[in-house]
Amino acid sequence: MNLLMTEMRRALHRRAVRVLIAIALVGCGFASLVAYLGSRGKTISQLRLDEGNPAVMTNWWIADDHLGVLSVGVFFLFLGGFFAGATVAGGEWRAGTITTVLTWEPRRLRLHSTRLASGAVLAFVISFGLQIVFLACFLPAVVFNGTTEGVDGSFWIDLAVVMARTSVITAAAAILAMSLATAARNTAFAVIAMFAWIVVIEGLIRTLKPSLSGWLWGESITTVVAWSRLENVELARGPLLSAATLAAYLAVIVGGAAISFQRRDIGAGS
Amino acid sequence: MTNVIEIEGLRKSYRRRGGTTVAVDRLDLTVPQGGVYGFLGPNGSGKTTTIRCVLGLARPTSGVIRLFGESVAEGLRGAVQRTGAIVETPALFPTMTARENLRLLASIDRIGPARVDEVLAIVGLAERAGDLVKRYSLGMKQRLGLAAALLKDPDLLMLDEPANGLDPAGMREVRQLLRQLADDGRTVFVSSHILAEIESTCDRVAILAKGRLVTHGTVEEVISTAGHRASVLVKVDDLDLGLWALRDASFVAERVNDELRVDVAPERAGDVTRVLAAAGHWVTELRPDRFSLEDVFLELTTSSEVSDGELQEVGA
Repeated sequence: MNLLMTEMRRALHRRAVRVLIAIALVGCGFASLVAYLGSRGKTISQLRLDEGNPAVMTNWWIADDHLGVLSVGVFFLFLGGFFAGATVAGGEWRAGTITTVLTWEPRRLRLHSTRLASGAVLAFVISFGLQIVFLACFLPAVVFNGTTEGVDGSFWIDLAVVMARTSVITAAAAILAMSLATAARNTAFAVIAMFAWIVVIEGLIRTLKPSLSGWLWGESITTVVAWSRLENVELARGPLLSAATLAAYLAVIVGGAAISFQRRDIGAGS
Repeated sequence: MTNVIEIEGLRKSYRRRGGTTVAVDRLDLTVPQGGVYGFLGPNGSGKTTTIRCVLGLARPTSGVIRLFGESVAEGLRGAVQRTGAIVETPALFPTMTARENLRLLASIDRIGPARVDEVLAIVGLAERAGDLVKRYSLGMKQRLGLAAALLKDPDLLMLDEPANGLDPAGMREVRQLLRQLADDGRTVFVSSHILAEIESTCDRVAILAKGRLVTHGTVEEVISTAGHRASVLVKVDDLDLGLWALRDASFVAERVNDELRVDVAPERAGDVTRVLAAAGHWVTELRPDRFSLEDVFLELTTSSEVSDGELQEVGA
């Protein structure tokens, strides 16, 4: 528990983590302003016709459509979680502090797993918190211009569950990035590898071999967050299978990184 | 006497493009409990690699290492709790203050904040403890690294070039601190290539060259058994004539800069003054020619090849 708390404090001290949180908060503020101005002077009926207008609170998450205002943030949270995780792990190698920490805790697997756990917990909590802030930013638009009609207990439960699923995806992104950065001992490698995979390789597969799209991160993440099988996808998988697919990817990368961290020498001096 | 570090047949090689680099080769070393142990060698001689292997940061290619009797290969948790270490340049979290850094490390072993303030005072950083580490000079980082190493109140301190970046006053303070720690019963294992520091601080030394141990023992043993002849240095007004007078009296002598070196034991210095006085040369200065650890170090480490024949074992 001591080591976990230490790792969490250390991660929160990373400037990149703080900058990412600050950017997210600024983005929330901007979204709040846009939502308020965009809904001002409109009647409730007009707002309802605007698909996904956040001044109508029930648009925050539409359980039947598996979509809503909240889904806008998933991509950014995934990216943020990934980039923060890569920076936390990669920065340690760049600064050489990994050597210092290992002279205090020489059991590498314990250190590595604690570090991943701290990254996951932080990513989950920050992601959940940011989603709350994101939605809270639409309250002025709802209170002054919009409506809460149709909001009931099940709405809040659905909202909380989807926020939790999004936070789990963010935590997975952080773990993935920390593992890649640990294996390569480098932040840039993790970021470039992720970009190459998601943008280039998955893009090519989606275009050239759509029958494999059930294996792609993009489709799997969307399915897990919506908790619904995707339409218009050749190999659309159910949410459980998609979650298992993502977990399998994660297990392979985390395992590979753990073996690499356990076996390789730390530094090579004179 | 209990041994704190025991190294048997340590070999560490790295696969590089175009071949294998041997950083440490067949190293046997025993560091007894208590005192300051100097681990000397030129850059690239394998000091840091050895320290990394002892601390479990690098895996030996072959050989056995025990720290406090605990095999490094089988895990180090117990031994590491009794060891404070600096490996190369102390690496701490640059965006935290010195105090935050130490508190963070202290929290791993449940060490209280009072000890953090205590070690900051010991290394002379109490007044700058609130500054971000990224604003520290190299010397201040060295002090902070030392503070981190002292945090656990360790039985063994392993310090890799702790005087790097320190000004002369800082070096003296560190030297005194290391001596004090050793006098308190701790073992201080310090690697360095600053020989003057080591000679005045260490009880025992080991000299490494090209990954091999070339000699070890107490400082006096290493100096006295390094193959140097006893000699005295003499100053006279006319060095050339003085040299002739000594050679005429069958002394082996040579001119060294502005004095004469005479191969004679210091206790026979009277014979030298008598010969010179008889020849009309008045001695203005006479002193034993002491070889320093630096002389021995340079002699042992600059030879072109270090082979089995050159390995020396001095003392226990």
